[in-house]
Amino acid sequence: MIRRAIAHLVDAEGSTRAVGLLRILLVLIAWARCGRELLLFHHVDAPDRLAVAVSFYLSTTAMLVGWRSRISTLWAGLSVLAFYGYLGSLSGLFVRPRLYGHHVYLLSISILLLALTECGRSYSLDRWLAQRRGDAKPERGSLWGTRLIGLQVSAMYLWTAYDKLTAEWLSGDRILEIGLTLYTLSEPIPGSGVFAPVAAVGAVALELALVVGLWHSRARRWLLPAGVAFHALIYVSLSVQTFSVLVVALYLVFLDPDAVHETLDRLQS
Amino acid sequence: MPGRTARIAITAAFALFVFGGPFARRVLEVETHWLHPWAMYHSAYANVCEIELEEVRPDGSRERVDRFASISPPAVYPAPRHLGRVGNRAQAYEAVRAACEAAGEAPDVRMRLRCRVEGRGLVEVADGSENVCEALP
Repeated sequence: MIRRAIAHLVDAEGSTRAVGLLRILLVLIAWARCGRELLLFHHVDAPDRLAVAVSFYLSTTAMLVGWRSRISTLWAGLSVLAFYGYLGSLSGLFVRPRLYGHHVYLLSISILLLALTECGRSYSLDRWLAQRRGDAKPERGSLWGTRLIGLQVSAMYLWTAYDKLTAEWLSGDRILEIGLTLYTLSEPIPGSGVFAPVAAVGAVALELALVVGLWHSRARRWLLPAGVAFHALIYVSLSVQTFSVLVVALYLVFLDPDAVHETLDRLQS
Repeated sequence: MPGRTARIAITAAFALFVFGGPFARRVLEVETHWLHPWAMYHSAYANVCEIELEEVRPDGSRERVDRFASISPPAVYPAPRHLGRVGNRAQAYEAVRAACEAAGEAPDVRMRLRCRVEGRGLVEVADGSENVCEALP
């Protein structure tokens, strides 16, 4: 069993369509999340911040079109990591670093790990140029990097669930407090005595199920739609910016890449 | 691509980093920016109370006080999101004062108030049994 698990993590190969698609999605999410704060005119007075901003836009543009895909993806990951660590959490650029830091951290780690995949073999300028030269490689490659992204997603669910294993959360009070803050402006919420504890326990149960269930093909069939619905609900009801769409995009790494390839083929035809 | 042994070693190290890092931050209470704690909703939306005001009429009947009726929205829109939200006891008593003044002579206003205490949730401050207008400084 351990041998199978290790082989699943480090030996797996498959279609590169999913990672090619993820490469494009992560750039769009990075622009949505970091773009405004990295607009060049914000940083003309500070060469270090300006360098990070220029690096971010150049690297993510190359990553989007798939030019020198793995190098540009690594460069983009380092740029987002610099935004998170150097400009963000440590220097106060984020308005609420303790809340929004998660988004940028997960984004930077995911982009860096994507550089370990053959993310330029599909949907890329690299592939187009290779096809013109007549030496395009098949759209297949190692999935090791996607397994590492999967580990990061599982760890995220585990520790966010751990964060909620408190009497305050499980009683529903934290959800109620969020509702009082964002929706009713301190007025009592009808029915919250039943709804809030059920929602609180349900959220923790789902997060714990996602920690391991995403790796299991039969459980994944039920948990992926539940996870998508969960993150969609959070997106429309709370202030989570791009976090929901990022996590849902990262679900791509748990899908069978050959099945994704076939689906995309069907859609394209 | 690194060799298989290197991939196994890197995977093990990465797993230790992503699972063990938050463990160090959250359980062992190691203070460092290099390990991400994943502490979501731990301190967000922290300062909030649940408040309900009722005016008791001379005939004993009760009517819910609309706190927002006495709040003037700013001339410039959009109004701040926190307008009218009660975040602590002092703000609750500001709302009580406005309700007591609006109730006229010998006002009788009852307040049910629960405010957040970190780690304990919403803790009852007032249960609505007393006329809070009499308790105003």
